[in-house]
Amino acid sequence: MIDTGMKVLVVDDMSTMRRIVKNVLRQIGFSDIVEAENGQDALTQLKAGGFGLVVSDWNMPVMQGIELLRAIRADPDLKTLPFLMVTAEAQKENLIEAVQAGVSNYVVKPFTAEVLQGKLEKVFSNVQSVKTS
Amino acid sequence: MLVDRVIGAEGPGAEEMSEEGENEKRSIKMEMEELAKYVEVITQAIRDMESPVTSTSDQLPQATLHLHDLAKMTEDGTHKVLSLTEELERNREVIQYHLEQLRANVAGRAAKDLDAIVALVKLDEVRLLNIHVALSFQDLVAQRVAKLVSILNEIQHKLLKLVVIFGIQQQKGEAGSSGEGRGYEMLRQLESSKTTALQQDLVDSILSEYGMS
Repeated sequence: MIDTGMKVLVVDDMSTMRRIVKNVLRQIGFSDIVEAENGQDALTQLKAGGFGLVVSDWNMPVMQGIELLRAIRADPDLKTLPFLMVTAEAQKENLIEAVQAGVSNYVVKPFTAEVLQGKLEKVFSNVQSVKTS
Repeated sequence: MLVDRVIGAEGPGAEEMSEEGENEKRSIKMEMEELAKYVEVITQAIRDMESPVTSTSDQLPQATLHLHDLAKMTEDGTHKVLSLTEELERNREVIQYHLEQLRANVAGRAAKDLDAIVALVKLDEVRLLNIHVALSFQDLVAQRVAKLVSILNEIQHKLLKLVVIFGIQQQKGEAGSSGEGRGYEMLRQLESSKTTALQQDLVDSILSEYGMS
């Protein structure tokens, strides 16, 4: 069961993608959704605190999604934050790099609403099982 | 002719040259004439190429602008469809709410009919969301256009370099043999993505190897 009351950060340089992901998240039940245009902008917002999930693109100017992920995992206050990568980077090397950097799950574009929702459920069920173990 | 002047110049002791020396002189003269013809052909080829290379490098910024426009047009069009779809979804929510209110006050055949209508209206929620998500194609288009723009910029840079230094053969050799540069790398990425891009089921399969689902 997903706690849809949490604050979610959607990170993508494309305004259309931010809007699409936000609409899917709203349909799932999330209402507190904040946007960032790149990794640097996202990191600044995350450091202010209060976020429960990051949904990020990979390919962005200024700071890429993979760098944002590494920065989050290296930050003692943010390192356990669930991070879902939603990206067009569909090479095996990208996926392995993301897994090694600590991604919570990975969705390739173009995706469906069901896939995104399914992945979010898995992310939070994993978070739950880590907490209880 | 320069070749005649060089080879034919009679220096001190030239009259004493042996027959073997004369033959060697004639052979060198013939080879130099061949070389001179070759240089003339190459120079003409370079001259012939200068015009198309220059005009192509002039056209590339325009092609780049068109690609930027293309990305912007798809972005604007996508926002428009998103707005309309959001309006449809808001209407659908209102319709569903009123139908459910109505359903609470009726019974029998009318109630069954209303249940069927509510079920259909609920189905449209998923359909509208799928329209939204299908519009993510725009992001993929924009990313490919951005890569093409970078490739064109690099081609233009190389063409201008050719025009300036006239080192066409050398440039061809360098580009072909080393395969370096951002443009080459992006072209390679675009090509390889046609055959090596992962589908979601493969992503899931690899994730499961890492204990993730």
